Amino acid sequence: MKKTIVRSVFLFLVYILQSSIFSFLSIRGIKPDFLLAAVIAVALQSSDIEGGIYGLFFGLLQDFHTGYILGINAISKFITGYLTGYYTRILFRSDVLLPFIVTFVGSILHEGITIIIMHFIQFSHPFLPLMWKLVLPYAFLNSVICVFIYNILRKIEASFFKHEGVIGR
Amino acid sequence: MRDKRLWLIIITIFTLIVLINISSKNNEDIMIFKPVITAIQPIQKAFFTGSRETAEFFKTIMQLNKIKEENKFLKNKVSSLENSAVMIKELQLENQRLKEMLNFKEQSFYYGMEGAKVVGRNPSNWFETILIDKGKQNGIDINMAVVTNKGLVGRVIETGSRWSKVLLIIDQKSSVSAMIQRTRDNGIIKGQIEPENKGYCQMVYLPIDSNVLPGDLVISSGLGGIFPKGLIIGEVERIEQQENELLKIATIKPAVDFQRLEEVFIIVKKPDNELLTEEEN
Repeated sequence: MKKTIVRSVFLFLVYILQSSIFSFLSIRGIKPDFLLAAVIAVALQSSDIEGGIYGLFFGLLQDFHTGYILGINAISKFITGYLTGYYTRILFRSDVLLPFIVTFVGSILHEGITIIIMHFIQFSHPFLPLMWKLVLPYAFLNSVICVFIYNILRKIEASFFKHEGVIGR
Repeated sequence: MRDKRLWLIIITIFTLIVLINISSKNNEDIMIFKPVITAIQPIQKAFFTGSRETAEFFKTIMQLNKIKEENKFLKNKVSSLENSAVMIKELQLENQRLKEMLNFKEQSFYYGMEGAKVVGRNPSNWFETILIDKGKQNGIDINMAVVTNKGLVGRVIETGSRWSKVLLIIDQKSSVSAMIQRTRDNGIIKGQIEPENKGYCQMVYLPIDSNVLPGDLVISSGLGGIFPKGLIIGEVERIEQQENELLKIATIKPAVDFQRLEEVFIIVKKPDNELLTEEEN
């Protein structure tokens, strides 16, 4: 329960920072997704179901708060959070490489789902050019951010749950 | 247990798809979540304002010497401007008298302006919306135009009691009826998604015989009824004519700097009875 509260407050703070202070931050027209990086970092520390629930809840928050197509971030963050939690059970653990690779793949998946949904509702964009111009640089930015967020989260959890002796899960 | 989990995932995804489908048509149908924004807004406003003020504070310290020189220069400027202001006031009064004599009604007479602060922005690459700190309590309603002193920002798409969501003109879903001021050619302004064109708009459906040129001013045409006529949108950057197409496309650089959007004005249409009272006075 304590872990759920700490992780939820952490994700909430990341979201508030992203939609206020960092909302104007863009590199060559591409905005990194701090919330997605944080959801992946939390999913790496927890399980598939937990990763999915955090992704769903905070994706919905993003949709209600600043979006106009409700559910689009919720569905992509839910699936990304769930699959991150699921596949990292069988992957090796490291402080840098794991969050970097998982976030890179997770970001491509997240944007892939978004493009597919957008295609069906009202927008149609050529997939491949967008992949090169937008999705890959976006995935790279998120991966770099996730390395920091993942290690910050581990330190926060270590200081909160010293007595438990085990970080994560 | 595994089957139960799979069903849970399928039901969640299905529910979200239904939600996406409803909200892509009209998200006013999903009203129950408005309190979420109302609850978050004060926290976000504190972060937003706090960060801007901190950045301004450090910027001021760094530029202290420059500010001293600027202050001296501005003092001289103020005294000369004070003289000009008196002259301008005289001209304004004369202008007003002449307009009254000609029974000229300015379009802006029918509108009021409500100032608002930007308290949040959509962090996604796909959507361009902002949150402002004024809502229904301040007379803000859906489809009201939002501007700055530079030009058109967008339109209100959702309102709460003390907040509103604004769709920026650079969003891919936005479309504004516009015209080239010099040539009077009409077209539609749309947002763009490609990173290299981020922050720019496209003016589509321009006639093939239009002699639009780079640098031409683009203003709202007033068609469609949402945006009043004559609001500055931006300047033509370049013009393209696609092969086998009978129309031209212009890339527009918006007059508003969307990366530095802090305060905006909402154009509030005055109620008819208020207009009558003002006309009588």
